[in-house]
Amino acid sequence: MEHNTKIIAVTGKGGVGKTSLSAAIVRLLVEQYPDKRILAIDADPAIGLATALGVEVDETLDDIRKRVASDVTEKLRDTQDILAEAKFRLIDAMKEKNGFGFIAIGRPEAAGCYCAVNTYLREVISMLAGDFDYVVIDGEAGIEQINRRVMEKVTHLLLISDQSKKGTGVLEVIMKVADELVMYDKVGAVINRATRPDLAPEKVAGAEVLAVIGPDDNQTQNDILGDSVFALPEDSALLLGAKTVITKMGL
Amino acid sequence: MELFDGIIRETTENTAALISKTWDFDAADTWECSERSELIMQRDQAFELGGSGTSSANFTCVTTTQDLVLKDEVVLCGRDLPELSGDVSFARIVFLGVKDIGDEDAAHAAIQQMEFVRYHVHPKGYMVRVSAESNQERVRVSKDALSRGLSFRQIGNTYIKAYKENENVLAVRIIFLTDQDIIKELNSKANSVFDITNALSHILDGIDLDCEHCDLKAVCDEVEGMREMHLGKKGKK
Repeated sequence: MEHNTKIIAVTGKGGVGKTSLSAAIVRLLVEQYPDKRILAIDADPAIGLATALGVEVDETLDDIRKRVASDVTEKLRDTQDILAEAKFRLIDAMKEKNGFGFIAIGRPEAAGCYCAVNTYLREVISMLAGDFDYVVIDGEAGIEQINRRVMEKVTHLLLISDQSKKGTGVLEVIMKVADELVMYDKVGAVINRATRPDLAPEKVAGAEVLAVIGPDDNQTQNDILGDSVFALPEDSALLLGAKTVITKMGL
Repeated sequence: MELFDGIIRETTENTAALISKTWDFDAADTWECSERSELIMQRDQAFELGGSGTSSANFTCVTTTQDLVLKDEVVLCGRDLPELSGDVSFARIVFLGVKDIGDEDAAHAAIQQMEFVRYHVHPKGYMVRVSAESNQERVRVSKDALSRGLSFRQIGNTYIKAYKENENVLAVRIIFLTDQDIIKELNSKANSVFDITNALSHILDGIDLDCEHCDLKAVCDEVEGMREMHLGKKGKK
């Protein structure tokens, strides 16, 4: 990384509010640091972060990978050509809105081996991330795919769960994988949609619980209407919780 | 190396009437560069050359025919950077006058190295993106660089200086075109440049030396010198 880019990976079981929290963190970072460069990466194949941030996606990283791979034997024969092509397409695919950049990873193709192109793309994303001050990654359940498909190092790992034993159990598994595969500097947890905050633990999977966020009617309404996180009132539980996370993680 | 001479002559003729400015190379008037490509976000850019769906083109031709590239020169067809206010079509064409490099393999390797210069020039506030697949070059120009007086003169000088680091390069003519109808045509011409380089690679790789069954026969028939080179290679085999 060129300068001290803070890379925040948000992970946890499906349906616990990872995407909403990621979007809230992006909004708060944009508002707190209007001069900083902020990149949001949607690593969930469902591309929910785009909706949460009000971004329209034309092309995903996997679309680029497929396109570049199809031409590797034609005009793109040299590593330098492939790297340049990947970057050319990546910048086109990167959306900019409200002061932040946005890239969607998309759904990986089942057939075909794109190992070489994957490597180039990961390199290009790492280079690109180095141009930003903050990178927020909304991951699908599990984080090994971040390591495989996006970047090898994150600085801040944020574990999200609801209050269910199943949810916190998933975090235990994720932490094992993270400790083996992903380099990170800081880790913290958030209990989201907590209906019994009094029963929230102080630690989950060995990580400090930074915030306990209760049910948020504003966020529920946003989800129903398909509005972005920028439509949420400042005092919504989600934004207040995200603010606590940002403070406690030193972002 | 005369394989690209036809394209150089044709492009020179077709752009002659469009020239708005020319500058002799001045090594002292270059623009500060970064070690690696920087990202200019849209919020920080003044405009993008070749952006917003406008055409763009980029190719490099090498020649040993010295009268085709007489001196180091920056040529502009169209408006200069300080005169632009929005995204426009854009092309950057480079003609390199080179020494007689020797055998075909060395020449081919040298051509590739000269082509790769486009990936290694990173003027500050001038973010270049190159697509070999679509023969395009797009450039985001930052508001900050414009306010500091950036023009094609400095960008051209910076590129020429980079090309001249290669000891085989004798003279460089770099042509920038902005907002010109001919740019679409130049993009097609970039395909012809690729076809020639590709055919050369095939010949040097020793692939398909039976001309009658080679997919690239049309290129060899068209380009002066290609068939001779091919036959020379066959003779050495």
